[in-house]
Amino acid sequence: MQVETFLDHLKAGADRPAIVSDEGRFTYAELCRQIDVYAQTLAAQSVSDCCVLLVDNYSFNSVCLLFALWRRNNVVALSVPKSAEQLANLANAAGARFTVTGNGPQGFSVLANDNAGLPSTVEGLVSRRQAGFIVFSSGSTGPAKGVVHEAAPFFERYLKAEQCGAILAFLLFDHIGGLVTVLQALATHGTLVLPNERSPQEVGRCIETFKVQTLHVSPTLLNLATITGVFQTWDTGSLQRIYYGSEPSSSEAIQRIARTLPQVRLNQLYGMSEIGVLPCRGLDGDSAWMTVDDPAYSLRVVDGILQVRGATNMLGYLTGPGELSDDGYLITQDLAEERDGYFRVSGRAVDVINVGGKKVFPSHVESVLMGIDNVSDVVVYGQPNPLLGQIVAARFTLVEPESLEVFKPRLYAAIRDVLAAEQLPRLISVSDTPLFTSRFKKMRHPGVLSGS
Amino acid sequence: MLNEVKTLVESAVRQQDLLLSEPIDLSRGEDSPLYGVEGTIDSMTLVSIIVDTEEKIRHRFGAEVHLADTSHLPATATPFATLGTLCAYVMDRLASAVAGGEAQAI
Repeated sequence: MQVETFLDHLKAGADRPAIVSDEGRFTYAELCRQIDVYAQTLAAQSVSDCCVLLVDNYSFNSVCLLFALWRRNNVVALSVPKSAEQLANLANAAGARFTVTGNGPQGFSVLANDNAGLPSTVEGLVSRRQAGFIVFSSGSTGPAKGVVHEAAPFFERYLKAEQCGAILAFLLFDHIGGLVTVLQALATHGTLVLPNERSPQEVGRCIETFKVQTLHVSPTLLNLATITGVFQTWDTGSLQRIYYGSEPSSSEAIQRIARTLPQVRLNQLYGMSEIGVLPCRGLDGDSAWMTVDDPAYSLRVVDGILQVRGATNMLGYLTGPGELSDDGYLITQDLAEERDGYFRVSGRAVDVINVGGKKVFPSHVESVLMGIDNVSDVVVYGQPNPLLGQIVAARFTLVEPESLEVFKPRLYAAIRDVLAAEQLPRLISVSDTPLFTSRFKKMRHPGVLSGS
Repeated sequence: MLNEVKTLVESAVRQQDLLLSEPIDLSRGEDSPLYGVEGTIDSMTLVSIIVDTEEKIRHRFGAEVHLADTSHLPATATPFATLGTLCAYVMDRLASAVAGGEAQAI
């Protein structure tokens, strides 16, 4: 499907609200008009048929710019504002000929980049004059990687997506989850609600103010919102559905939400930058077991690792094709189990802790530790150890201040009969600072955690 | 300092009782076996004792000691065999860490 067909579908939204925020309320007709204006301006500046770095946060303006760039057959690398040096690095890595920066409601500026050599994964799209996009993985466990996608399969996928009504754009503009939130909202003629900032209280304010019906957030954000009383402070009666995903979920944290919001349907999703977000159906309610009904996707578990082949699989990384099976499945490096057509993800293979030859899954230990009184969040990670290879370390944030001398005995008394010896965290610390990234994903990088 | 280190190591050993079905037997004082041929604890508990001792040393003396790395010791050394050998080993590493810190300061 071409961009024009998708834009024609947006036009049919007419006077329905497409995007709302404190900035204003914009209809589909206004959205399409602004896309037209920007597309003409971009054409006049020859910003067509090439790779472009788009730098912006969510706004009516940035969504219009994204579609206008696609309309001019560009491959759009997405970034939120960063330092000039970081942006130059991203532009060079993507082979971006231009950097387009949104300037609030006034418009945008264009900066030419002469140094860009086009990576082969991007060149294929540009030579076929196909719209595409590049998202940079969060880099929470290493350096960021640029993931290249063709846009058309995403247009087709989201025209068939379920209605979401008013959906909050919580995940960031440069995140695959953030991008598909935009596509799902607009393709189903729903309303994209833009928050002023990414914080649990702002989520509550937006739900009340804009009558948000659907949330798509990370489990970490859901947990924070629950323990900070967001769902009690604000009127969240409009909420019907919460999509959560983007990291192995703590079942204890999800059960807290289910108890707090019994009327809301909780829907776990599975997605990553490399494959988009799959249309998942849970085995029951808030179960971690999921299946994908869409025949456009095939999933299988090989040697304990989930493999996915589907319409929205990436074309490749900026640096190469990625890890594929001989028959074209992406090897996700997510540990998974399969049962009767359903699968359950237990974490990243790279995160598994090897304690003297015994494997420990951080997500399992975290789900037990989250059940301890006064724990607001916890990250479990492997600490190198000369005797055992690695030992389990746990870094906590607490609801109320409690000294380590008091907390540790209480913790050990609660878990000694629940966890096996190798699963018990031997290194315990309490943090004053949050344990998650700006994308509300848990920080598992041992250097970040143990050094803090 | 020796007595202080002994108290601190013993408290790190005692701390493991929270995780064990039976407390570690220290009735033989410094001769109480820990990890080795006659030892009563497993490798996980030994690692816990080491981590907790390192933490207490850091907290009390402001020194970083790395007890699990025994690569510099002679092959016949048994630093974790008894409470006494562990205390002596901790004293030795603490003295090295303090001397290293002073040398750096100079």
